[in-house]
Amino acid sequence: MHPDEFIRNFADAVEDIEPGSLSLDTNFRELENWSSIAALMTLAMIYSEYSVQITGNELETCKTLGDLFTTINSKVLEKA
Amino acid sequence: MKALTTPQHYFDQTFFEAEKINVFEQTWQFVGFQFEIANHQDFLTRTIGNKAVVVQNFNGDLRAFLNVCSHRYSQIQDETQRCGNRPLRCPYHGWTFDSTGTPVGIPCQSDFEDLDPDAFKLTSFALETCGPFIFVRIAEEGPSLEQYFGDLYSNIKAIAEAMEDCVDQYVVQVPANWKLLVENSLEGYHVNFIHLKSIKQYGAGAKTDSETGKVVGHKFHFGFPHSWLIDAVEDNAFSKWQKIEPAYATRPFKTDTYHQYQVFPNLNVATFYGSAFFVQLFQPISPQETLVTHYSIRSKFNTPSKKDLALIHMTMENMVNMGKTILDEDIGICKMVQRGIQQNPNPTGVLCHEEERVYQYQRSYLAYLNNRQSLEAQWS
Repeated sequence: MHPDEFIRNFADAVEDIEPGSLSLDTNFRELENWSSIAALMTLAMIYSEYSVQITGNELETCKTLGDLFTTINSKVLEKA
Repeated sequence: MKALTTPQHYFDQTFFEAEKINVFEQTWQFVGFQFEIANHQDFLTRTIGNKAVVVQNFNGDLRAFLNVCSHRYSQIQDETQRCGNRPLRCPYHGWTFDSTGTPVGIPCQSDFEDLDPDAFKLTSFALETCGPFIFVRIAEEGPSLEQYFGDLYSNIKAIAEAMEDCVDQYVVQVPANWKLLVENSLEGYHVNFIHLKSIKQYGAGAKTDSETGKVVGHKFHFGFPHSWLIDAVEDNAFSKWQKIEPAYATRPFKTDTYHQYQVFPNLNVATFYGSAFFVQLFQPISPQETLVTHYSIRSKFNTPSKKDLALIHMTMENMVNMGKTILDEDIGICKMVQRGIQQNPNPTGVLCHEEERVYQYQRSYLAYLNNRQSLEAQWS
């Protein structure tokens, strides 16, 4: 799992975001396009691309894309 | 509108005993889904009115019987188990019954004098299915399921045929009369107070005209003894749905509205857009206790896209959690109503137009309770 690939997938899920404008330090809740539906799309993307499930509560505890990346990564490693 | 029922209808043992016979034993009762008893020898047990009922799968053939052995009256399937898998065999002396209810396996049969197995058939009940829904009627005489559903039938059948499987079943015992829970589900008047953070976000509840302040848009339908609501979803919620709708493009029950059906007397079926289905059953335990079963049912769909499947999965999970939240909110207020109704100084309450389905529900209930249902049906 590579951070650049994760950022591209995130941008694709939330829609209308340039991947180049994002980094692991981005506070994704402050994005103009962030909404409850964007959260749902993000959870679906994680399930689809990384075969792990993040709950709504786990997403709540993440502030930056880096936090989310770490949460997913630890689940992927746990599963392996 | 004045309410038609009195507070006593919600706590008095006399009314409770009468409604078991005149309401529950006269109407088609939902007992479960075919996917709960899909295999040979699967069974489920239910109480309908005063009758203990077993529904048994005999190689795919579903039959309903009184759950009492014709030999020495033991219950045949353990009713503390709501479902299970074993032959229809009495645990006491091992009498085994076939799909006609006839005892076909009687241990030491030659030890009985002139035993005619046909004379010891189990009492059977009418059973009909509608898609995966299983219904049982205790009364020997009565309308077919389609006749009983009337105008409701085509929509319930379309919904039933769109159902794939149950993803969650939430069972909870509530210290409130079953009718309080049903009536609560029939009006949107309480939504702005009880469900502000849940279903209100989806546009449910009473809507007011922004200029006049008057309540608008009652999309109620009545077909004695049932009622249903088909209503638009608020723009904000609908625009969210439009974003995920492409993933659901192949769902069989397509609608852009919210549907909620009340199948008299104690079954509710609801769907947002046909994306998933929520079924609630309110089974009376005593005048002041109800067993609520809330099923979350996934729609059939046919999409090969991994992305769409993931979105459907996550949306379903959200909906399951939302359904439980809404139910818990409803249970909370119904418990308070139950405590209050026993001290109500007024003989009857009052209902607004938004509560018209409650009024019609009470009319249906009293018609059955007082054996006037055929007359009421003519009026509607």
